[in-house]
Amino acid sequence: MIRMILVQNRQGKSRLSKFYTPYSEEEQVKIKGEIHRLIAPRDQKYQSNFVEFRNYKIVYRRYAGLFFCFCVDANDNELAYLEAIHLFVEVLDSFFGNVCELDLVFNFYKVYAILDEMFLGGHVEETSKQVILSRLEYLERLE
Amino acid sequence: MFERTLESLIKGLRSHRGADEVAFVATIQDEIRHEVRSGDVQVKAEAVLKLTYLQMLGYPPASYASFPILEVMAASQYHIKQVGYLAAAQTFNQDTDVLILATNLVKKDLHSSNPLEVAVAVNGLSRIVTPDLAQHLAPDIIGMMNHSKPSIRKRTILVFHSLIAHYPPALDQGWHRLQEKLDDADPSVVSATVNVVCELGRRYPKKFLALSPQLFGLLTNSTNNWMLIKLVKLFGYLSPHEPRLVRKLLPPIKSIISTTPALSLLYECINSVISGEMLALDDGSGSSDELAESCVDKLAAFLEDEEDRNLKYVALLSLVRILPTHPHLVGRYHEAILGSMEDEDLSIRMRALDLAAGMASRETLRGIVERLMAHLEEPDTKKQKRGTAAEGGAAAALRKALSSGPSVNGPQATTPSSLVSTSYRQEIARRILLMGSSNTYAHIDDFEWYVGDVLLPLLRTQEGVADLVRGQLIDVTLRVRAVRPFAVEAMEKLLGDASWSIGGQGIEQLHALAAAAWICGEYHEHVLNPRIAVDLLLPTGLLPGGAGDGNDDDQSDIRVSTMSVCIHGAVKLFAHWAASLSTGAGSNGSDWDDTRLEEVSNVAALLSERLNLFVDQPHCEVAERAREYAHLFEFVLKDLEGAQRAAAASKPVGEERAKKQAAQSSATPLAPPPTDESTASWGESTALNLTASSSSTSLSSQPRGPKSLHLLSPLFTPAPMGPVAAQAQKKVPPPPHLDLRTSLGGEWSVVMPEPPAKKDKEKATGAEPSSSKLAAPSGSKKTKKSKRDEIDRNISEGKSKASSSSPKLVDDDLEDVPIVRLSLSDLPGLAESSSAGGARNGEAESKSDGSKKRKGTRDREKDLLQEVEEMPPGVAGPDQKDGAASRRKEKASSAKSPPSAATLQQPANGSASKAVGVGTPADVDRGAETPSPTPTMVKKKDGGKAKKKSKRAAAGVMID
Repeated sequence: MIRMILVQNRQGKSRLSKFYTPYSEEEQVKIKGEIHRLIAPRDQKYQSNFVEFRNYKIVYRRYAGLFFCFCVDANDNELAYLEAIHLFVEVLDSFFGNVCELDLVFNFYKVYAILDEMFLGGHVEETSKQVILSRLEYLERLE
Repeated sequence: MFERTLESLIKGLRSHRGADEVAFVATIQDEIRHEVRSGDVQVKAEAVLKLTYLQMLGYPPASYASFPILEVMAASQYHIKQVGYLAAAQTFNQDTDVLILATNLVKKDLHSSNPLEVAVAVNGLSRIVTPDLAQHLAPDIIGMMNHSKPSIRKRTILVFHSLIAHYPPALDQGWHRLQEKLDDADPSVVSATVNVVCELGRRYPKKFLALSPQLFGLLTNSTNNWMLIKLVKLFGYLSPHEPRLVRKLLPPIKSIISTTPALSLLYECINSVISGEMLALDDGSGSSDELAESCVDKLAAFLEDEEDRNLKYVALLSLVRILPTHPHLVGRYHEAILGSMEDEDLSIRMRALDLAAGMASRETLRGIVERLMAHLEEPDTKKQKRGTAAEGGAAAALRKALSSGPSVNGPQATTPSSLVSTSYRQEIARRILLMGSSNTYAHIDDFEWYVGDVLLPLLRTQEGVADLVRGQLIDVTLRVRAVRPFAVEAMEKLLGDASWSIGGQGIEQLHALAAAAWICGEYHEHVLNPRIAVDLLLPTGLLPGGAGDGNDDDQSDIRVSTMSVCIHGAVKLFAHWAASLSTGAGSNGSDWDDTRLEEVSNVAALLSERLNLFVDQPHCEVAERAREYAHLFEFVLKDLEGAQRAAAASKPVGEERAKKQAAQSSATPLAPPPTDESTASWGESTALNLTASSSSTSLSSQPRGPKSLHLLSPLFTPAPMGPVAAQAQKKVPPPPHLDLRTSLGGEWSVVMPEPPAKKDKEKATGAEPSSSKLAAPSGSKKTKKSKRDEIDRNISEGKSKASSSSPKLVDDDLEDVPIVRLSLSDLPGLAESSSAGGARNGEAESKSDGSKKRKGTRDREKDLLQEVEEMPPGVAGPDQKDGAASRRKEKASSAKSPPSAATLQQPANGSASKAVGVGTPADVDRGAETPSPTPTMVKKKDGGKAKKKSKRAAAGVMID
């Protein structure tokens, strides 16, 4: 299952952080720093999208200046989570319309709401883009 | 009051970058502190939202914020409630105290008529759940699995998994519901259920076997790849527990493997086939072999895909798993795997390394190791290219060596990339050593190559593996007779290599020196130039306090062990060289003539001078060795001097002999008069033995030259050490008098004395030993027995109670054993060494601090174990060795204190290590040794001793 989902920019600033396994505040800060240092220097073309981290594995993808990192169990299917990340980004892109970092910054609570529609308790909750988007539209109309 | 919106907070943060940010956040947090107390729930919610945002950036909210968050969660409007739940999910932890208050609130929201509120409560619950919450809300959640809305049902099922994690009985309570949900009408709900079942099935495979029929139906009918992946994974967990399942599963899985276009699903199938032990099925048709082959072929296709590193990585990962059962299939892709070790990606290289290590065999090892060694050199050559001048490999290695050691944490290690590469290189070196030594060096056919082209280059160029290399160098030399001349020559060369400055301070150099000292000392007959080697084995740079010798505990430990090995090795080498000069038996020996006298005396004088440098070392292991040998060298020098004078005057040989006798008799006054029978008889027996050994050598070849040339060699085992099979150890019978049950201790109380009284006592005993206490061991048998029982009880109580209290009790008792101090009272610098926590001398000192004592014991054991590990078990001719060793020891001890002094101390040690619960048999064993061992006997730890101990340790285990 997914242990945490982080979105960081190239400077290591968090744009989203969701811990499905409880960690203390200090530990969270430490983990974010460690993951940033692991991911940021990696080469996009000649290196894989997987990094071993503690007892887990980080599956990450870089979109423009943002790193989308899923920290998952070592025995999980890396390729499937790679697709999950892509799905998440596609949903964000459809929702915000050509999403950029600033969208995530100023609507950070919406990003969490979208995340909650797709992942819950470390599991993939919904994989149909249509279902997710129609649900998000419905939520938007409420406000 | 001025209220900042989230947007203005974000803008503010963007304009206060860098150092200003912290101050800006502090003011914001101050504002929030006021805002959360506002009566307006909107203001409160905005403040909570800002807190959440700051938390994400790494500024955790103060504890005052928990309650307002709860208030916001309780708000009636959905969009405010949502903010509260988000904040709770992001900031609450298991120990957040307000969670107790949340139970009813969450319960109310779960039963809300508004599905949005239910959804947000379920989402929040998944993150804030505690065992208490889980227990209270489990019935509600289980009930809600039948909610009319699919979007609620799927969330409930997922949150049910979080609940089980905190409250396992919930699984049984909701089992039937969960089973029903596998057949839910909504595909998302089924998918969510499969997700949860997959996770739980990993933990409770037996329980979930019951669901196999339903799951199998899903596997054959579903087209949702996300779910299929989970299903296949789940069956991989289940099938090892139900062999019949495999037969049923193979057809659908095979069809997926051959048809699916989704690589993630294909990969999952291959993985499950391997981890689910589905290849072990043997139905006689060979279909499992076929399947294995197709799996490996698919993986190889992944591996050879140069475009996609991800596939390469997962392929290696799976190949590692299939390797143990199908090495021949993996072997086909040997080249591609080795090629992956040069990949840009560290993760890929590591997995390729795993595979390569697994593929090593007698035929392939050399190729793999050579490839890895080349890999190790690569960064050097890269650095070289970047450097200004083109230098040779030796110069690069030298620079590397110079920058090694304590400077590992130097500036070069700060950048992450070089950090990774350093640790990666270490990992490679470690794997090489592991591969080489696996199964007692079974894969190596050319040991000269292994020593000369693998071990030594690793020692010289690679940081962090010197201890391993040192152990293997000694191990290989000891086990493989044929490689000894080569190894000794190589070590001699290493010693003489000025460019590497082996006498220097680095950890690598210390280890190298220790290995060289051991090998050259043990296999002295192969040393080409003993005269020079003796000098190099005891470099003055070995003394601590030089440049680079910081407060590094590791290094000082290694230094101590290296010093003691070097002292022993150098003297041993000299002893045999001197003897061989006289008999003409040495490899480079010609017949003795008096012209060599000067050469010998020069070397002896040098050695004596060097030894005297070590006499004042704080570590008794070092100091005592140096002192013993320095003393013996005084005789040798005196005799040689006499011989030189005699030679000059061309006097008859008889005179020399007389002089030697005189020198020997002059030694006696140095030792105190013998105190008991054993010591009294010792003098004679040694004298007899000395003459006997020299006469035995004189039988083979006429010894010539001064007698003192033969003074030292009988101290060492005449036969070289050889390996003994592990099984052989069992055949060594325990000594008949070895009784581990009876305490040797006397009147020492296990009742804890009053602390001040104890200190006084200690002072008193430390200052002047009273003989009445020495008489303690002769206590009546009955007392001993009862004492022992008492200790045993204490120990067992200590185990059941808090482990820290009882061992301390026993430790404190030990400090009452008065003799402990006495035995080393004539050693200088003891006080310093005890405060430094020196591991070696821990036995002899009574440390004032209980915890320190325990630490000492542990360290000592570590040392002991390490030394035992370094040596292969068993010794050829242990009897002679023991005889020589104890003779030597008794001599030394008779100069210090009566032997009875030690008998008290030893049981103390034995029970101390028992009490801390980490005692090795060796410790206990030493406690039960024959009644006359002396303090030195316990302290002594040279190569031979370590072996003896390991052997005894084995005996101890058997008896226990």
